[in-house]
Amino acid sequence: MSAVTRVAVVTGAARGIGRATAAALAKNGFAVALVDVRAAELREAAAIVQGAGTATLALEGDVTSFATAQRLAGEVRAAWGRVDVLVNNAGISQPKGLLEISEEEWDRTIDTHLKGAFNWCKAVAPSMLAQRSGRIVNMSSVSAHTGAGTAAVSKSAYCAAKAGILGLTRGLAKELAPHVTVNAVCPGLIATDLTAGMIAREGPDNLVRTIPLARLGTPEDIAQVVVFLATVTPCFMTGEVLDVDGGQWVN
Amino acid sequence: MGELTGRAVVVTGAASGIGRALAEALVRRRTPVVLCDVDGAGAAAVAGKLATDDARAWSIAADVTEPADVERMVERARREAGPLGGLVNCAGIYPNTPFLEMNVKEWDAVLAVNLRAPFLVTQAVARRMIADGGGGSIVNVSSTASRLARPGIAHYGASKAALNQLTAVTAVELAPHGIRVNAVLPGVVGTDRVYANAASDAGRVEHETKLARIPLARLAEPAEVVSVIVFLLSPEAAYCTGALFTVDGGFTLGIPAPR
Repeated sequence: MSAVTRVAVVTGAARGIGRATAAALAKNGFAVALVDVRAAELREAAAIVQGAGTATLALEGDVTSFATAQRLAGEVRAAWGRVDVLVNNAGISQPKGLLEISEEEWDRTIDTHLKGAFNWCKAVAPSMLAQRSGRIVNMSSVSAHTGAGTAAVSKSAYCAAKAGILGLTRGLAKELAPHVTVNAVCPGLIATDLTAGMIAREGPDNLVRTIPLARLGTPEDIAQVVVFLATVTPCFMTGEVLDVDGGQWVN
Repeated sequence: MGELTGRAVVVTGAASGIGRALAEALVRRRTPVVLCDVDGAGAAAVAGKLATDDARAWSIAADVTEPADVERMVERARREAGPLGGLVNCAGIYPNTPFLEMNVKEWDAVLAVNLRAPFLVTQAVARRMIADGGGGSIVNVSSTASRLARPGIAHYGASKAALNQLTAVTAVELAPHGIRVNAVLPGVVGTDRVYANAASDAGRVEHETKLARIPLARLAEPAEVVSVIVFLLSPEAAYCTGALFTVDGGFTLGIPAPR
């Protein structure tokens, strides 16, 4: 325990961008708590992250539950005494548009992305304010700007949830300043389990044609930007929204 | 953060301010740097202090608003420093003049340094990056003045807004060649001149009014802008292109909510 000096929590860490971010933070010397609802993949991810040589915690839980976030954040502090970095990454795809989506599916989408981020900010921000330091990085999406494309893995409910995260980021940047910074990252089209079906359906070549850098993004591409926001010292970025999309949005 | 490319980075406006701080940071990362400035003696003085056994530093005097001067500067940079891996368009001027009193000479001067020069230097450097086949990373130093309307800087704000769009279009056109183009938008940077002004009776109130609008409640240190530029130059930013990275302590979010 004495070796643990910097602590990060990553939600949705069992797969994809979350797993890559947890691994990258571990490589940069963080003790990392991985939070996910998928127990088996979570244990697998934690084992891989632990390979970087730092302490890890695998915390099974659903980010949509306020009580669960409170309890798990307490477990992290009990183990390591503090939380320095929170990465709100947990998300689900929502390929149904307005005419197909049910009320329950809408709620589930907003709850996972937006309420999940709220739950975890609420669970760790007080201790960050008390220690007068902290970094929060929220995972949004270029879909928040664009409303997503017709081929997108996720339609309006997902876009609304991701745009909500931008508002949360900007509001919290002011509320938690000056000692805690809050920023958002907007990935473009990243090759993950979440997007694999859509990429196969649409054909990777067709999708890559819309991206100036002529390739899909990788989870590591995003993880590196998150690590930058989590570690650059001193840091004059707060309330900022960083697009990491290979130029797709401006194209 | 990992190592930057071993290739040289050209920095315009490198004799002072952010350009100078950037050149220093690049050398600390063992990255060869070409310091370009219209103040050739100033650039030479900085380069002379920087060059070490680990990383070389060259200085070239050039007026980056003049096509022939740009061509000569970039040709020499390529010849002396080898294949170019990066360019940071940092040269800029920011006179403050009320719009109704602004003359065309000042308008043209601001647009020349802040917009025409990045066009010329980016074109000249990108052509050599493409010829050398190794891709590259270009960073334009823009400003939050490209988004916020501040009195007295109609020319400056317009030039930086145009620079944002130059960034986006060149990102799209140069992407097939493996060249990324991004911009940083610093807010108010705390330079010696800014702090000296804030220490005066007249400047103190203005300074405190300014700080009250910045959530992080202070000005940017040049190093905080430099670290973002260095990140964008690095392989860690491999999927970033056409992006605008604001570095303003939350300034452009507006007046902080009471707390």
